[in-house]
Amino acid sequence: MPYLLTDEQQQISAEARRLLTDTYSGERLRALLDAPCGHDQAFWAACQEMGWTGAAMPEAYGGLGLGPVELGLIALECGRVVAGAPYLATSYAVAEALRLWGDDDVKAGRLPDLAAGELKGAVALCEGAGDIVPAVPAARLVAGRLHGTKRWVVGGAGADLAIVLASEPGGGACLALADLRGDGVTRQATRTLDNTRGVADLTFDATPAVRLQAGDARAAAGALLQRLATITAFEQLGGAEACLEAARDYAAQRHAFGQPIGKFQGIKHKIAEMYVLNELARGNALRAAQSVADELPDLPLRAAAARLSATSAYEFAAAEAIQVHGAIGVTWEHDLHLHYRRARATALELGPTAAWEDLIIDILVEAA
Amino acid sequence: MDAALSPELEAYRRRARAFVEQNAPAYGREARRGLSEAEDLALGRAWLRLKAENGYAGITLPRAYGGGGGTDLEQILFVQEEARHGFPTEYFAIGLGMPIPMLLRYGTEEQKRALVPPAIRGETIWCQIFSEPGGGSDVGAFRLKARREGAGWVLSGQKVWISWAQYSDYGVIVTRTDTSVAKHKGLTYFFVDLRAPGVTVRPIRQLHGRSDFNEIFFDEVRVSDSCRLGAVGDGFKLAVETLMIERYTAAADETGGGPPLETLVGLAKATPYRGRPAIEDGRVRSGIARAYAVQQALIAIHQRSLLELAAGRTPGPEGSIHKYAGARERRRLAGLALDILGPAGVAFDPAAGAKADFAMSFMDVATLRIAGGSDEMLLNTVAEKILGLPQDYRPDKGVPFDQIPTG
Repeated sequence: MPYLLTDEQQQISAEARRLLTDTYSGERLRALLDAPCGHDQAFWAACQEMGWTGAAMPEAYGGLGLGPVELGLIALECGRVVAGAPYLATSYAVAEALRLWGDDDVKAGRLPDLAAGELKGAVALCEGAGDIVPAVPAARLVAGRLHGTKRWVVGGAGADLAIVLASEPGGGACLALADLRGDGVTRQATRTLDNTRGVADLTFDATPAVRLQAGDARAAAGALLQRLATITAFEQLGGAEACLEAARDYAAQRHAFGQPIGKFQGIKHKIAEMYVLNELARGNALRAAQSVADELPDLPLRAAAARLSATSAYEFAAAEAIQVHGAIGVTWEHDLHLHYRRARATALELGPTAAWEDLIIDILVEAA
Repeated sequence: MDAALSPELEAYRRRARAFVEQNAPAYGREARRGLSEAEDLALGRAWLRLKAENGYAGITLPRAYGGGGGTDLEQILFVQEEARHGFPTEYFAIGLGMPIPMLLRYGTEEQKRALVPPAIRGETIWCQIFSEPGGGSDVGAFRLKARREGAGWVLSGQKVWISWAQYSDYGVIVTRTDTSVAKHKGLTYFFVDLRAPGVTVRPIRQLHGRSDFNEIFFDEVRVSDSCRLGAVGDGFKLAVETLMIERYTAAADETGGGPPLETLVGLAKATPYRGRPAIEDGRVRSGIARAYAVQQALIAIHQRSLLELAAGRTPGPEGSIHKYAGARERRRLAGLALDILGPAGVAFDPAAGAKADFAMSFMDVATLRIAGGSDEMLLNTVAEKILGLPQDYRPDKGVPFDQIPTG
């Protein structure tokens, strides 16, 4: 049944929360911030052990055969603990690309290792500042080999496989699967707002790659972004929930002027507003996940709505949770800046916000 | 509503849709055009009577009293279908939504048999007489006095902001019966006959020029003790109970009662800015897209509540953000629409409807942000009841009512 979580789904959430809360370490996460392009290996090992790496991948290829709602619920719990790796979402997007547009060989060859978390994936679309999907990619696929540079690739630092948007001789574009472990790939790690996102530039020099049968490659890239936006919306919502709870708990115990600061409406209304934005974000995230699961044609609208709501909710919650905490909130030692960084990073990774707004408007204008 | 429903509910919705579509030409938006308010009210009574004859009036109320004997979900589905056609339902929505269910819970059998069926048929109208000049959000602060005299009560004082009282025959009222105890403890709940001697109803002209609400003066109005609902001193409890009745069933309108988003998209396509359609401007696109996201989220939340109800569970508390978030977005959108029109945005038709006209929507939304729990009260409720934050500083807490400073 759509939107209502089944007992099994609630159990997945509860299990994920228990495990991730137990293994959470703000210290470990802060250490990762100092080292560009590392990721939390203990977290990834836990994902593998729980089977989350293949949560929404087909059972025939070693996945759990669950859907995007379940993966979203896991991502939500990862977001709550600012999990130190982006690969649950990025590997899922790569697996989706292979499921939708790969031939049997590539599916049989890659999906089981992706599902097991032995291989990690990334989606490489962007080539510079601004649009995430270049109008005419400078990267090229010629005779099965990739040339050119993809920039700001989330997970590019640790990924083994990448889906690459490239031009082809004759003027078209395509999506290709590249193995990043082989020869002809240079990774340039970049310091970013949130170093655990593993952002890197990938340069291909005659790298062997498999062309996917994705039809209109720019539309296919959009379909992958919409899946990433949907799963990321859950992750953002989880982060926003954690910020709300931190702000609420602090406001209830911190005293000033002879009373808990949570009694002041200037504080409590801020926190109530977090709740309002978070619930809007949850509504849209669940609906988008349902559209992915049911392969509904309204996915672009639903994913864009989920992205706008989740981004607003997380950015508001992260910024205002710091505000509620006062000066302690802006110290390195406090975990809130992990959320503040993650909120901004996740708001940027999938392209300019304006592009998601335009996606909605273009469809509404068409329909009007 | 595109969520999955049971075959029975789907069939109910189809029947409801056929019924409203068949009757929309005679009673709906087009039929209302150009009518005076008296004519509109008469049309509304006729529509309600027709609904009653077909089991669609007071859908959740028992059949024994003229209601439909249906479920909350059926009522929601019917109202969603009905809302598409702009029927004149506003005069009756409050009465059938809250006062009549309270009478059914607390009235005597004789009262219920005498008073409920005419209300469901549109022959009588009921209003909810709560707010006072000195207390709107603060339900415990009401001071309209009810004093015992013989076997009955005598009411004296003023109420205000009472929707549709000018057309009402009866109302439920919260009165102060004891000033020597803390404010929440000295209230008592009655229903009153607004035609009784000593009752004066005066419409209040609102900012948009029309009069939806009224002030009511009670000058030594005699009320029988049989009109008391609940025990003496239980008025606060019953008042809160009244406000909770429609928690899930109130018509869910993702626009917050304003024009649909398509109307704004159409307006932005048709209006030029710098020689191009305004819809090509990034600020306009951003404003509409963000409103779309909020409205879709409200739909999603509402659908989840319905599914919870259908599954026999209690919906989560997130439904309580609907009015707050919906009204805020409606205000933004109305402002954006008028901005797009530029100087032409100043045009104002006092007879226009808020669901069709952005200027009226802009004016009327100011009321929505206050009525039925102001934005600030709603945020307090979220913070205190849902999130568990400590209650506001309330210096009148536990203080006998007659010792609370006023001003």
